[in-house]
Amino acid sequence: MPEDIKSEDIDAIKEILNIGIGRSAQMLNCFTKSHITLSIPEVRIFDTENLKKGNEKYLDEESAAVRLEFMGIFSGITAVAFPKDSVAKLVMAMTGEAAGTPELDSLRIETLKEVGNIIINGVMGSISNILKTHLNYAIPYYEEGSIIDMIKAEKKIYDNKVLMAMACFTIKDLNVEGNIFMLLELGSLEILIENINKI
Amino acid sequence: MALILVTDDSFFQRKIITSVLAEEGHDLMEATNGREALLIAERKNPDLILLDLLMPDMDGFQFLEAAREKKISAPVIVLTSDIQDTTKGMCLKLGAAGFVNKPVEKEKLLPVINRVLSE
Amino acid sequence: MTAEEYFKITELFPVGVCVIDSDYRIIFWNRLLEDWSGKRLKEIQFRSLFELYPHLSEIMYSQRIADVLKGGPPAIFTSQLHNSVIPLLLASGEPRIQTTTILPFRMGDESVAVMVIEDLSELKKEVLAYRKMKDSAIIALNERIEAEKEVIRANDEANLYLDIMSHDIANINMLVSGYSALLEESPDKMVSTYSKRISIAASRSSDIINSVSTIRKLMEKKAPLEPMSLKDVVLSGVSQYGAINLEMFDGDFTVMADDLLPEIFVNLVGNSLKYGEKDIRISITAKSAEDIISVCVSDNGPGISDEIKPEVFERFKRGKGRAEAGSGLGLYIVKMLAERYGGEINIKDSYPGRKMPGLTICFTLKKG
Repeated sequence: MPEDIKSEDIDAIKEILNIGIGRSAQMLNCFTKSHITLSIPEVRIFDTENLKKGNEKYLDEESAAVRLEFMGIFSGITAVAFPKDSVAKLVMAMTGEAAGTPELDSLRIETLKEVGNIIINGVMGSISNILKTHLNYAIPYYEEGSIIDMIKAEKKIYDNKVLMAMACFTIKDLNVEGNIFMLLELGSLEILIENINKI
Repeated sequence: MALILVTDDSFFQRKIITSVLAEEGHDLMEATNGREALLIAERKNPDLILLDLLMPDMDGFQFLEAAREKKISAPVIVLTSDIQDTTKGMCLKLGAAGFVNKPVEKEKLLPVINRVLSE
Repeated sequence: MTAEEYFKITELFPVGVCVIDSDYRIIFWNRLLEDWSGKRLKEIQFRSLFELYPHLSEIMYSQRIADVLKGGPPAIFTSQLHNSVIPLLLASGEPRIQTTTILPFRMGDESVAVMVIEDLSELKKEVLAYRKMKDSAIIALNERIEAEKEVIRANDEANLYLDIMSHDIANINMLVSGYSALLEESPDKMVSTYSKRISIAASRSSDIINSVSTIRKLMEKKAPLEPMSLKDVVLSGVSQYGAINLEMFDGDFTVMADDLLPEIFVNLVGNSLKYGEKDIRISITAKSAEDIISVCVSDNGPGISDEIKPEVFERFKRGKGRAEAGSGLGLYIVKMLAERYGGEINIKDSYPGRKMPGLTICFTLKKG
């Protein structure tokens, strides 16, 4: 952890993300009619150059992700990613499809886009509410691959160092897992922390 | 005036909660996880416990179970960002006296505290 | 600038475009949307979205549209989780499958929301057809797997019956040979003659059982070939015939084979003994050439006429009018084995032109 980021600040970022995730969980709960088990978010600072595979399963595994870029007093990306083998089950449960082959085809990807969009908007909506700041957003889009590759391919992050906040959620009834990621440019972190401390 | 135990792993949240409650003139104690909260509750006998759910080393659900077993008499208000109806249902079933969503807002938290304290 | 002027470019877009103002009134929709809905812009302009499409007042839509109008992130709505934002029909009367993206937009100093509607009806049709096809392919595959399991089960059962039968018949053959050997010693000439015939028949029956069992092993076994001593193999193959007039190559050779190789010598030497006179001579030669060993088994017996030679390796071919014991499977087994070890097999007279030309059968084995 770089010297200039205090553990209290990390703690505050965690809590802000927590509130956003809690709101998304309620929406997901309404859609799936199942309880969502949440984990305590993890906040870390990565050097994208040193980031490599083989350390963390959730960063390596093939995922289906919906991501949203945001720009404002702080900038970054929020993404929700599901391991590929569980995502088709989730979509099928939500659309009430009769049991068939759980494969992620283009129609199910469309549905996943909406599900991911609802989750991400829940997170971002409550964060910008709490911080009382306006952010600009790009169009959300769908992507497949490992989280590591997605982070590495990210051109928007000019900085080598990036802050990643991550929380995982589980829908036990459906045997589905997912991860919510937020990547922040370190350059914008100071402003974020300043805003948090105004609360 | 009451003796209130604030349980939250987040320093940030404890700061917000305690500042709201101190303004109201309550006496405050702090715990950073369920285990600590249980130890303090057994020894200091608070009038009310505010409880976060997601915490390392005994989370809020486990605390509610343990508090019931140890016959902790203080009422518990759950204060969480997990706003799912099913979560609320689980907490009430485990004996919570109130359920308030984060972010902590004075206008929402104080009426619940006052209701629970007067019961 | 009016909304029409602002969004004129979208008249050319291959997607439906609808713009609402902060009071949820429709201020623009493009030509494609006019086509899809059958409603002209003039008919619906400045009318309330909720009045035209009452289902949008449900919180699932209204809350998310409100968030966009407040400048929040774009919202995506699909036809899979709920009705389309703006329900549109295909010519067939079926609902169009749509994905609608609602984006915040600043039109001058006014905050509006732009709805972009993609038609995915064709995509859905294709995907559903594909899913159906795949599901039925999986069902067919599972049925085939089941059928294959059934074949294996039936095969196992047949093998079990065959094992039991071979074992029991072999036991009875032993009894028959034993008693008939006793009767051969009878002073009654007729009893002794018939007993000899019974003994031959019993021995032929045993050969059949042995041959069938060798062929089964041959069909089942796909064990990799291993290097082994040719001399040991020949000795183990001919040991069952006791003291015979056999001449064998000098030294030894290492060849690639498996534990069925002795069967070649069992059959070839057995044939020579069966068809030859009492004093028959048999010789086994082996020659090394490059990466192969060429092996020949020769005798000075009656031989086989040239017309029949090409057929003797076929199943159930035997010398015509022969009374000798034999299953007719012996040379068939020899040929199968020779091919299994990667060699060729051929048959010729030992002494061409003689009255008793004898028989020579040669095959090749790979060097170990």
